Amino acid sequence: MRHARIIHQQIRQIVWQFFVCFGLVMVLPIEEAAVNYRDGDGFYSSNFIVPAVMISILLAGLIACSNIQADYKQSRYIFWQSKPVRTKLFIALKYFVGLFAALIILLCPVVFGFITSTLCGEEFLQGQEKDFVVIPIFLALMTYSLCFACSILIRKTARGWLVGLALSSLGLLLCVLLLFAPKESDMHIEQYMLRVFISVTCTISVGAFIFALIAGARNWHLKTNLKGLLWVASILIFSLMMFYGSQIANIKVLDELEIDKERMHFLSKYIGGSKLLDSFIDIDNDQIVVKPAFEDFTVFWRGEVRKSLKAAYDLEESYFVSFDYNERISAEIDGVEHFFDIALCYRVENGRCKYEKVFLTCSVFEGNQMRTVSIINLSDCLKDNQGNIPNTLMRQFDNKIAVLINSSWALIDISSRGSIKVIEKEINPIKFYPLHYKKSLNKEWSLPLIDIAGLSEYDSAKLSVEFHIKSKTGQPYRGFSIYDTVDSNTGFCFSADDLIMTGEITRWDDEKVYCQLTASRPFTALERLTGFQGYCRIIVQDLTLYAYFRGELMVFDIRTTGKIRKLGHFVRNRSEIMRIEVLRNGDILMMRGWEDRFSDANLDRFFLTLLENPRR
Amino acid sequence: MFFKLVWKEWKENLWKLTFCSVVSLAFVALLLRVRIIPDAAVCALISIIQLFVVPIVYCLDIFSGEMSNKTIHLLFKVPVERWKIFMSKYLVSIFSIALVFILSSLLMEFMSFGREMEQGYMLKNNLLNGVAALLLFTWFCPFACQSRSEAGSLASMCGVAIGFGIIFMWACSCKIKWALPFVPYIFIIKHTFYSGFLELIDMIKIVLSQALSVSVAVSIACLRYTKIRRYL
Repeated sequence: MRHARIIHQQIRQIVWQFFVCFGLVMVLPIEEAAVNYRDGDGFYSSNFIVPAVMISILLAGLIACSNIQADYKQSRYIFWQSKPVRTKLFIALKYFVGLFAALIILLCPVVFGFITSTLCGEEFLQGQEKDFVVIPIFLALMTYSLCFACSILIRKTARGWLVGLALSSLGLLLCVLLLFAPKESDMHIEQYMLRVFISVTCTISVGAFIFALIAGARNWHLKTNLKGLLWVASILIFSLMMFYGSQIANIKVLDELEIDKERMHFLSKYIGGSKLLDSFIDIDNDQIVVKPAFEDFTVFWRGEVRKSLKAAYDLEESYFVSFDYNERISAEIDGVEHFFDIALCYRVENGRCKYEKVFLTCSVFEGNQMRTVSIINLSDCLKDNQGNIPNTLMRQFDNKIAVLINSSWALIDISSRGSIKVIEKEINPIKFYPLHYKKSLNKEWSLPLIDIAGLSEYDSAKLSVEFHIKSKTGQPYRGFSIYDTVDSNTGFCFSADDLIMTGEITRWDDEKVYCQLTASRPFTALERLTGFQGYCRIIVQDLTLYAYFRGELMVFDIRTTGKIRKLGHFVRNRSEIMRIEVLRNGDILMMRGWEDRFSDANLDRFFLTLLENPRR
Repeated sequence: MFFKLVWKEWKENLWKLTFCSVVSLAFVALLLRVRIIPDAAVCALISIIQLFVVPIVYCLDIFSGEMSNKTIHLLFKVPVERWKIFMSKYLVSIFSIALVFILSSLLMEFMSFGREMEQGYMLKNNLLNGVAALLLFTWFCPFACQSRSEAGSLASMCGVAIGFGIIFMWACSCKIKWALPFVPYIFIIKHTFYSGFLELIDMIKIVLSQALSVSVAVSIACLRYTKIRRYL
């Protein structure tokens, strides 16, 4: 039997399915074009191309199954098994004819949308052809191939289609997991993702095709029943979700309490850990209890600091002021709590923020108002800055504060109440060494010591390591923490793009500090899937590392040198963890905001959440 | 005799009730326990999946199963009107689908009590989706009652589900207001987007339209089921 005849027979067989699917796929774009025409915008379709393409992926599987069933139902397959054509050739031709039909159906709405949009002078898919055309083509290929193979094996259209769709969902999941665990390469991330996606889908498709050939030639037949299939599929999905949940959401919530926005702002930004628990919050029997002082307190207006700053330095209205509240230092001077902040002032030029001024502000509470009592202008530290966001660091040493901005430093005296003054300042003395932290594991490396007059060498060494690593990992707000290790050495940990690392300061001399990175813990694909990134905040307490980013908290055990072991993970989608406080028993008090898109009010809501100690 | 038919259908389809209930409850418990996504999103996700999966599981072989197993010959020899045979299948399915939604709604409400959402939100949302599922199942019946295989049933169900989607989008985009109350999906958007209480007039309009469409669907399904002989 000639190939052309088989192809002709297959086309005749598939033609009605083709037209049904074509009709289903084209309804939406034509409907949209008609509506646009009625509204006087011209006969074109753009928005409904995407749902039409999505539907055509499902229909590709249906075409595969119905194509197979036409020749495999009842005992018709015996005819093909015996004669008049080689089974493998017959199945291969069947596969390609069906695939061709499926791809034409997928491309029909795209071509229709492209032509009509071009004729009407409208933008088509807003330059996202790759997302809405290339990726669906490969998805359709995978779905078609898997449904084709399943249909040959199961020989029931509906079951073959459902199992094929389930398998292609797993294939898609595999792609997603691989995309979230990228290997180190110089390739652009989008290019890398596309290559991974195409290689996975093509591999699965080729595998399914070969399997279909073998299954057809050897007459494999898997007998199934609906009940069994449904139970197996459900148990599989449930197990996957349980595994996922146990990996990324395994810290127990003991209690949760909603509080208002102003109080949450006050608690998270202005109250130190010990004061928080002494004066405002109590934990009783795993329950959060607010103390009377918290109920009685009245709120302040938080725009006051910005206003004072702008007034004191006569800043133009075009300047915006930003604070990094996590770098805030609070110190008690003569019985009055003072808050020190680095205020970065920027203007927006051509859609880009241009950082031009920097100040150190000292503020106190007066009644229910926050008032700025003293400001120091440190804008000369931004010399040679090209308007980029500056690297800043601020640490307190007794009654002094060391402020590092880009490659300059200043030492500030904070001993007098309500007044701060510069003791010493040096512009651009800090040198930076290149740091390849991923390649430096278990090797000693050195970095320049930032010699700040008035600070001990040990303090300078700690400050140097922190500032150097923060600057060199590319983001000034990246997490970093210094702690004492089990061996009483000075350890440090930090987060980079896709990992958390620990290290130790081994020694220092007049010019250099020597360090060794002892362990690294890359974020797993599952962790990255929820959106965890290296821009997290880091706290170390009792050799337990707490890293949090947006709505996620991860807890690691760093007691053993050279090993970072994960203890727990907490996730709340659409949340923002504002601050965490580790209690004496290891439980965690978390302050988080939540974007409520479901209630009528559509307001942000704020919660105090008590989490169980992950070591418990 | 009718009650015996109902009892037969109940026993035959009890595994579907067990399957749908166990799976729904397990997923509700898992998702509301781990709380990766907000409670309201869990409710929306599970409701939408249930809305399509539960009616499909029920309709997949309730009619075609009798034909593919050839038991329809025995069933039609029972001295009872055919529309009663159809109604026994229909009523058992409706009752079971409703039960699945009630159970999952109660568990959702119980597990999310005193958390992010106001009291009754999860119950109300899931039950409204349950109503949509019942309507969808009712519309599956006229198209699936003469199917001789699961494939035929599945194809007709997909056609109905996608068809209503197209009508719904069309009605929304062309602002054809009279068509909207006839679409089962109206109950999903009524709660998700407007989220407040349904306005009384709107509610009456929807109830009347849906009652009309349900009676039409059931009548067509009955009629088609009674004419099934010529296909055997």
